[in-house]
Amino acid sequence: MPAIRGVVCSFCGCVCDDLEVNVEANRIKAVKYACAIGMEKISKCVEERDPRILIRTGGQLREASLEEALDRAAEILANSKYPLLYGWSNTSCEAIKLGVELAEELGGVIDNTSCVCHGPGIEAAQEVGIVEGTLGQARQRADLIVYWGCNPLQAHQRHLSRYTVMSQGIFRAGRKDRKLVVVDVRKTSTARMADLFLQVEPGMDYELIQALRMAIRDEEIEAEKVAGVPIEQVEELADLMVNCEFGFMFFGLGLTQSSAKSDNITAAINLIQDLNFRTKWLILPMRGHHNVTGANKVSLWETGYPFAVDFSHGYPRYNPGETSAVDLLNRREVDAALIVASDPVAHLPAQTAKAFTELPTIVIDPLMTATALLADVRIPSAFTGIEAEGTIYRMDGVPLRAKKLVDPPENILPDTVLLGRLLERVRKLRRR
Amino acid sequence: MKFILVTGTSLKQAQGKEHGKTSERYKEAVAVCELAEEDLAKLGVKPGDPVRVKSPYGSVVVRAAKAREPTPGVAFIPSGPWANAVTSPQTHGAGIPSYKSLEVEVEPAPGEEIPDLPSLLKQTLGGLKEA
Repeated sequence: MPAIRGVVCSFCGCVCDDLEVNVEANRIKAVKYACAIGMEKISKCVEERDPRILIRTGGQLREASLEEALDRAAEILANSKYPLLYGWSNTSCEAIKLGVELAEELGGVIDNTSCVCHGPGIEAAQEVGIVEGTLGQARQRADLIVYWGCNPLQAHQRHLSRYTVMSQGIFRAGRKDRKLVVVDVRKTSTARMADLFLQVEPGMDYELIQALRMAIRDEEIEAEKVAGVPIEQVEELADLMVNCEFGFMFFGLGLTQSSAKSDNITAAINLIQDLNFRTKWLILPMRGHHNVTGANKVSLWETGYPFAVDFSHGYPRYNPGETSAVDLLNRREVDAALIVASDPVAHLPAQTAKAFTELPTIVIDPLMTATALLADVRIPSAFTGIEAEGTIYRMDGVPLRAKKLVDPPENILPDTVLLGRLLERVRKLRRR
Repeated sequence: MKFILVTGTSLKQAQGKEHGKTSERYKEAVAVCELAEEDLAKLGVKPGDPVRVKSPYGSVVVRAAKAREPTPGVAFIPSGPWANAVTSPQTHGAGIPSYKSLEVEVEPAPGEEIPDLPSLLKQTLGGLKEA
């Protein structure tokens, strides 16, 4: 069989669309051009799936039919007063759209995993605007790349070779034409490649960004060090930033998850805005999960808000800190949960995740997850981008069409089909 | 000994989670606390030894490892349920908990076992909904 070309990777927010996959007898035989993580996911995940559909009875999970599981799930949701529909970052935009419809029908909350990753960046952009660009602009034009609080060599492995310092652009011929700066609390593998590395004290990024803004305005900083970084290094970076032709800053969870949260990103955007008075600069978040950007886009165009959307008043409301999943779970406000394509029990603080031990919970996910161990209904679904097609947004907001490479096993359906059937059942129960 | 806890993505963590959260490979990748060589010596532990990490929000036993590039005073645990046994649920009105820059206590835990996922969840969540 000829290789399937132009395959869209289903791991991270880079959404690399140049993969080649060989399929024989409905099995993935070879994957070309993917990074180590994409390779691992596409070549192994299907083989290692736990295909059991499970329902909790008498405290124990037991195998059930799909119809039984969907009926039970619909019953849980239809009987709830304020359900949380959470996750969505590893499924298609078409599935997320159905999730929004379901949340509206139920008068619940729909939130996606950006509330625990780049949500603070979205909040910052709503406050001060953002000078974004596409990865294509970084590849073709950028001569200075700054990675702040992110480690793409471990988490977005092809980011450097496809889009930044190592890529061959029209106006930049690769590494020799570009400078790389890394700011991080640890000397990461990406930092080891950098022309300049600034090691910031944990939780002190905000101070360092403000010092850089001062240095760019040629204001004197009356200190030897800011945030653990010697002033000479701050000035060296300010000089590089002002004197480049086209700069591009990428920021990661090092900025969004440390103590100043959205204020860190507000400061970083302000820095980029300042720099645009001197030369050309753009800034982008390093979005982690496959379609987490799509989850924000769909939520935005369907409800007017990118995440943490509450339908309990009959119309969409958005107030992170109040309507966001972690806060709702911390306050034990929701009375049921539908988790799609994510694993909050593994990725939320245990004190928050404890809420799931008290909540009737439905999990729709291809893999066996920590949340599934606590679920009342567990429905395995097809892997989006491997066993199901769909629209996926790259971290820079470029939509790409993910292909279906192999058929899922019998009884394993795409999220779109499962959510469509669930919505239909919920509507029937609520109209009774 | 006191450390600043940083949690985050690592290559092995990312690969491990695609094998499923209950897989041994995932546990190997994320039930780990990376420390600077000099901090390991101060604690009197070797890479591979169990250590207990404690915060005001919980405690967990993970395997000590030597950080490739040492940052004394910083403890790195890859994102996942072992790290989240100790992270802070406080969002301070921003919707996001504090996964980084939390002060933790790390101590040797000789002879203690590193829990697998179901045992960990029983410890940290106080049960698994079993009747």
